[in-house]
Amino acid sequence: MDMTVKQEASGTVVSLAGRLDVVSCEDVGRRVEELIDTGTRHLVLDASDMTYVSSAGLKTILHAYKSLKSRQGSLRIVATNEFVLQVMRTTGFTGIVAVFPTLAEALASPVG
Amino acid sequence: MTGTSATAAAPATGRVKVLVVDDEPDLSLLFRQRFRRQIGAGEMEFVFAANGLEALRTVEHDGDVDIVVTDINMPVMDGLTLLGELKSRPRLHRAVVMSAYDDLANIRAAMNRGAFDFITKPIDFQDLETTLGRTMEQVRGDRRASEARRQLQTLQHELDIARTIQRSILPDSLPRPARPDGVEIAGRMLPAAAIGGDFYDHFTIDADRIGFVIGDVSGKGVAAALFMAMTRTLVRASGQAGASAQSCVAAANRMLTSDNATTMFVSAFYGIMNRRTGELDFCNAGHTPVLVVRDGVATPLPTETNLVLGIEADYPYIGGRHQCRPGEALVLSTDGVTEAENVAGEFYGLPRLRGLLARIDTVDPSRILDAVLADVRSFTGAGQTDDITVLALEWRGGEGPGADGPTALDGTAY
Repeated sequence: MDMTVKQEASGTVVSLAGRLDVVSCEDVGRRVEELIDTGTRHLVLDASDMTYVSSAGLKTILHAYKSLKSRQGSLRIVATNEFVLQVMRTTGFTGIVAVFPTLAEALASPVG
Repeated sequence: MTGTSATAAAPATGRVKVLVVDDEPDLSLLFRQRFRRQIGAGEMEFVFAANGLEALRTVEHDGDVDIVVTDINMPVMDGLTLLGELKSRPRLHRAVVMSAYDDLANIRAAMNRGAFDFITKPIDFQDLETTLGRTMEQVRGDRRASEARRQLQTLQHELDIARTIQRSILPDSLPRPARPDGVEIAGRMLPAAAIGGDFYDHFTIDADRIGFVIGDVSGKGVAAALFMAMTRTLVRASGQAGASAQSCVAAANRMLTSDNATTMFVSAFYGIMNRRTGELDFCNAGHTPVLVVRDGVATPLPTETNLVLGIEADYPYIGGRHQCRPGEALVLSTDGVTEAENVAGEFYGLPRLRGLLARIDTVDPSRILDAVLADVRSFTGAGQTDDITVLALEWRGGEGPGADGPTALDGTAY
């Protein structure tokens, strides 16, 4: 799993490529937590190149969501992979987190 | 005088305790002098005994001797006898023998009794230091190995507890005489080595209604097993009190969320089946689609997408209804089925499951379980990384003629 972080005007973009599973989620979770600890409030999780997400991976995303929400922040997700989208739909994540088809749309959307 | 004051502040894990056994009284002074730096730094601690018997008493009394450096010829109990005695003790001691340089027979005998190394007398302290250094390395290796073993045992113990919890909450599927009408349910779970957190349950609500639930907790180990036991208990409690599927799920969610400091969550499907009318009241909380098998076709039961349980206390769960037709089956599974991976990294997937259910063309719960589990196993080969759970339910229609039917094989007839 590759993770890159980029600062944009409307938030911090964390791009994740590959599998977000029980192996990779620990590292991703730790690094996202560091971002939040050091002041990130509006996070865009770019999962365009994510090919798989397990329940452990969802837990990591959920943790970020809860953590940001409790600090009056926001989480936006960009997802295009059919499997990833299906897992997010099935588990109801799409009902609580805003999911966008492109990074441009996610960045253009109002936060909060 | 004993040097213990210098070693008292030493880190408990790093210090090595050496017992020197010799009938020469000057030796203790020599050792203390020679190793004063290591003693001062808390790396080593020395204790002394004048013969084998005294040494054994010290070993037993102190309980933390790592290395025994012993002479061979001593009064009361000699060094070889001491080595034999040490071998029978549960604690591992690394022994170094001191012997005259030409006393090969005794050195050999000592090595045969498990001595780690030897030095020759008169003592060359340079050699002694090297030898003790090597022995200390061995002791530290022993400690790391025993710590790893202990951690493994703890982990094993944790998995055993988790497995026991998981097994204890599954319903007993006692074969009861099946009837030509009503409902038959069969469920089976193949737990993964690391315990994935799957569960299922079914129970009687009243004369007409049966509750059934399948769930999958995100996480592994004891915490996941306890979360699963809690979910099952909460669903059962409000389910048996007669709550609708939707309010039962909402109530369980509220309780699970309020206690949840771990961001653990559980996906679950709860259904209430009326065995007389075939009416199904259900609520799907973020769980894998349920398949309806009828006339050789398996179609997903249309459900509202609800959030998994344990995240938002006030999430507005929406239930659904379905009218079963006689001879129709419902097949519930966890993602251990659809996300079972083969060696090429492909998923078993919902289409394959639907294809199989269409192909076997049966609504008998036990036969459905057998077929699904066998097919998943042949797809994945040997490896199983997640719990695999299937629950199948057949509605045979309302009250029929009432004749005795066959016995439900490993299912439960309601």
